[in-house]
Amino acid sequence: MTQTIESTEIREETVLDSAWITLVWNDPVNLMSYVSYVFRSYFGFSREEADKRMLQVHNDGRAVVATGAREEMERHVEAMHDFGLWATVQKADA
Amino acid sequence: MIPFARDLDDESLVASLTQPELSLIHTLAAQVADMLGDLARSPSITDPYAAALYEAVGIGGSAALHSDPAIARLLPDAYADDADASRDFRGLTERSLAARKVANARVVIDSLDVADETSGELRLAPAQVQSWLRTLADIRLTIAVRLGIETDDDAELKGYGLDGDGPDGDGADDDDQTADDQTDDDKLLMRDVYDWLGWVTESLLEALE
Repeated sequence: MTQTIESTEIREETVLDSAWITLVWNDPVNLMSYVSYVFRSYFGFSREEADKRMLQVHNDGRAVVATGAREEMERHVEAMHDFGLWATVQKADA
Repeated sequence: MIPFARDLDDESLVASLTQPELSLIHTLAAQVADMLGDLARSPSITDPYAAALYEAVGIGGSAALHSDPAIARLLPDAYADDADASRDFRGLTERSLAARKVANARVVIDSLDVADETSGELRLAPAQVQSWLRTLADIRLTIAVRLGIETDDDAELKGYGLDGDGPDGDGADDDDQTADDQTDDDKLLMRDVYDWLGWVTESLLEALE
């Protein structure tokens, strides 16, 4: 019984360790229409989803735009920097 | 400027700009390319195999965020709270990121060079539009740093930065003029340019939709 609980806890920790996120941060320069366009054209979000995340960036200062493996998140961040958006990678539970 | 519209025959976007407008974007794109040029260049490696490998991998980034705040904004840290991870990422990606930004600026310059001299007609193929969007963002980010636009309130307040404590000058014309000598007129002009470039971006996006 005790052992079962322990092993479950370990498995959950492993899942959390492998989860990374891409954050896009608010900036006063990039137009809201441009940020929404980038989210749609790069991430393939619908207009509704792109606008929702764009408004999250605008109102909350940042938004999560992707979750997954670290290398994948780093590729997204590099692509965002190509567009001039300010993006960072971090652990999902950080 | 007549805003961009989509040419349904070949999916290109077409606008008409005045000569001063064409040469203004030309100058600003060239400044971005110049600013990032050193960071985008690979060091001279004599062994062709090593040089090819270096090109392919794209390594050779700086150790830390650049001291010029405009370059730091264009090539930012990839980790907000992990300096070591940021440095490692920068080492692998900074040079290629800078090189892509320079290449985008050159695409903009090349497209301006072939704009019709009499009508000012500017025709952009879809791939060129992507370079334009990115370069316009890079130019506006650079101007914003120079003007001290740091918050959403700054961005909305027309003429922000006037009578302030003097954000840094352009850096390109440091000959006789210090940053403090930059007149309010210059800042107003740059602010107009900044706003106009935003309008050009909007025009591209509207034509794309």
